[in-house]
Amino acid sequence: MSDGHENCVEVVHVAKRFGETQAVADVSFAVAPGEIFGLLGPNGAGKTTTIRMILDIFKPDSGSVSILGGPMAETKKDRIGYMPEERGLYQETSLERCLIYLGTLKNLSPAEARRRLAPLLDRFDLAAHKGKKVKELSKGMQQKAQIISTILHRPELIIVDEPFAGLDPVNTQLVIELLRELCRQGATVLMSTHQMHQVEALCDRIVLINEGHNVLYGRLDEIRRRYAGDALLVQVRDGGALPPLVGVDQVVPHNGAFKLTLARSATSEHILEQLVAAHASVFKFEVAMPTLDEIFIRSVSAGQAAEEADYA
Amino acid sequence: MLDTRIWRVARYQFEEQARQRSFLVLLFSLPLFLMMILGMDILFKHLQQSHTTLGYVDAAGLLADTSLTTVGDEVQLVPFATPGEARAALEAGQIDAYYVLPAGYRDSRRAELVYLEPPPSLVWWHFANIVRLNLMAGQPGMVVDRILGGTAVTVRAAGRDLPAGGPSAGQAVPLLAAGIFAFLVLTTSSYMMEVVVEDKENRTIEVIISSIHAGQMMVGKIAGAIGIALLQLAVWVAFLVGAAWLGANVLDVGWLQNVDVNWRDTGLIVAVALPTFVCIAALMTAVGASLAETQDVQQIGPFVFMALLLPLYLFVALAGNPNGPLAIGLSLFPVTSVMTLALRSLFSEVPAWQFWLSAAISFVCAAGAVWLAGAALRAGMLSYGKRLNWRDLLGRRGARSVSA
Repeated sequence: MSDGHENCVEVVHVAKRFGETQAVADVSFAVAPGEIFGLLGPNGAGKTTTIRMILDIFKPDSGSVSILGGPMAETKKDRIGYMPEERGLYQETSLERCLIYLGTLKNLSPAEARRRLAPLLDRFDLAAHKGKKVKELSKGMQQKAQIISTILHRPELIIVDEPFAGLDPVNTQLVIELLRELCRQGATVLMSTHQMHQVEALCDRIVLINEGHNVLYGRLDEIRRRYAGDALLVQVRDGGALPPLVGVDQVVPHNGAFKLTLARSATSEHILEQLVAAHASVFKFEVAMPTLDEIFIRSVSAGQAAEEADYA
Repeated sequence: MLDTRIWRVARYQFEEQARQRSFLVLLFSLPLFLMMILGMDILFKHLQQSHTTLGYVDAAGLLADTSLTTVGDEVQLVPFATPGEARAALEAGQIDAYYVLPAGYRDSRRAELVYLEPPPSLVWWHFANIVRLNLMAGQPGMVVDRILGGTAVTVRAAGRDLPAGGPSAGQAVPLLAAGIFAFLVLTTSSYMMEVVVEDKENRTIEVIISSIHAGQMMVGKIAGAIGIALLQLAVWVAFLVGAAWLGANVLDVGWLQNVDVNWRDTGLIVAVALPTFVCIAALMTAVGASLAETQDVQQIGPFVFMALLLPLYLFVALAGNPNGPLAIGLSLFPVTSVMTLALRSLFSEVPAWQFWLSAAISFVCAAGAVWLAGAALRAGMLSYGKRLNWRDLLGRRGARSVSA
């Protein structure tokens, strides 16, 4: 699992049960330094429980977790920024006071926390609202405040659970740029989210878990290639029609191009040869990569189908 | 570094509560109450000091002696020969009211009071005593004094004398300290429970625990609550002392003058109250960690209140046998110890070792309660919307220690 560098996070076959519920059965992955890693899965897959085990909020029943080079320790908490899903701020306190207090718990002095907070409030358009109680802020504003609270102490490892929830496209882009910037500065990001297009835009590697088990794990581009299947995207110049092609089961328009589903016996080289032979003015010819959404649905559905078959 | 974070949690907790309007109302409610009592005392004295001129028509020929001096010269008596003369004087504003004792008063025991505006009750009381004095003409002076003095019950208890009319102000100070303790515990405990439940409800607990140890958080919160309690105590004691001084030196309130405080018992009760306060506050915090919603806190509050005041319900039993097994048992049980010891100190000389043993038990319980609060917080903080199963908590900790 390790690529030679010491991983920021290593989760090895962890399992956790709450009474009759097996929240996590067998999950393993590693997060390398400086990468943005996606922890994906449907609702109830065990993502949050896994994060809590990483943070030592829960002890795993079995397996092991290593964070920043070993077991969790109190002294490591200052090097970690954690944003739980939903809320996490004192609702009755003013925004500035709340964020400074949370910053001081990460070993910042109140003066230093205040100094670091000012530019972040400006960047997130919250400076004018710093005197308001947290509960008076919109959901999006609270989400931005939570992100500030997570990064105020400049952590080495940032663990964020649904960081884009409640954000409009402008603020979503702001957070994306911020996470990239933090990575460029050396931080590592472990991100749990349902928003697959954000994962595609941000993550280098992912793990997809379902019902407490690893389903997919690895580099995002490799996973997409693995799921690419037998589809091609072909676009001819000036929006022209395709010539008749042998070995194609289905042709459907797709964003100004055509998505070709190949027959079992056909290959992409065979299709390209036919296009050249027909003197088609080919503008685009590529293997149709599935979106992460499609991969997610296929993986989870396959898991459920297998389970139903076992049950039957 | 660790201490700094506990201090930061404590300070935040302290400032958050101290800023609340409800806290400020609570903080100044006792002083305002004292001011109201003092104001009423001043008003009462003012009414007492107003001079009333009372006329009377003694058709019964009863009032040979009108020299009763119990109220000094606040009521001046003016005799009239006929009701008509008295009426004219009343209407002329020369007298405030007049009594008519009819000729058959000795048989009927009925007199008539005539006024344009009701006179102070003191007038009625004063005139009634003059009538009694004359009805008892010929009786020995001691009998007359005794009857005019009214009822007087003197309680004599083993080991400690109680003056007639109840304990003196000085003797009541330990009980006052216990009362303040109960009030502080009640308000602080409810607050602690609410704080922890709110932290669970708004998920801040998860953020905090990812920054500091659960135990640090709990110690910090409890320390903040102690700070709030000390602030309340300081303000209240300052007002109490000020009010006592004002009452004794400006208003001449008799029972506040020459107060002989029972410092021994007061000091010992404070020694028991401090660890007991921490113990109960920590226990309530642990309970808060096990609750799911803030409204659950309102259901727990009355039980704490009842437990704290249990010794008052058992007052008769404790007064009857202030050194019996029940009294000693309640003195050693942390929740009831302070109030029981204060009540017992009214009636008996409670041995010092019982105070110290009670303080030691409370101290040990406080340490255990703080630990339990941390454990409950850790176990219960993530069970959003669910109550903590205490059996699970103890079982889980056991499992953890085995796996560790």
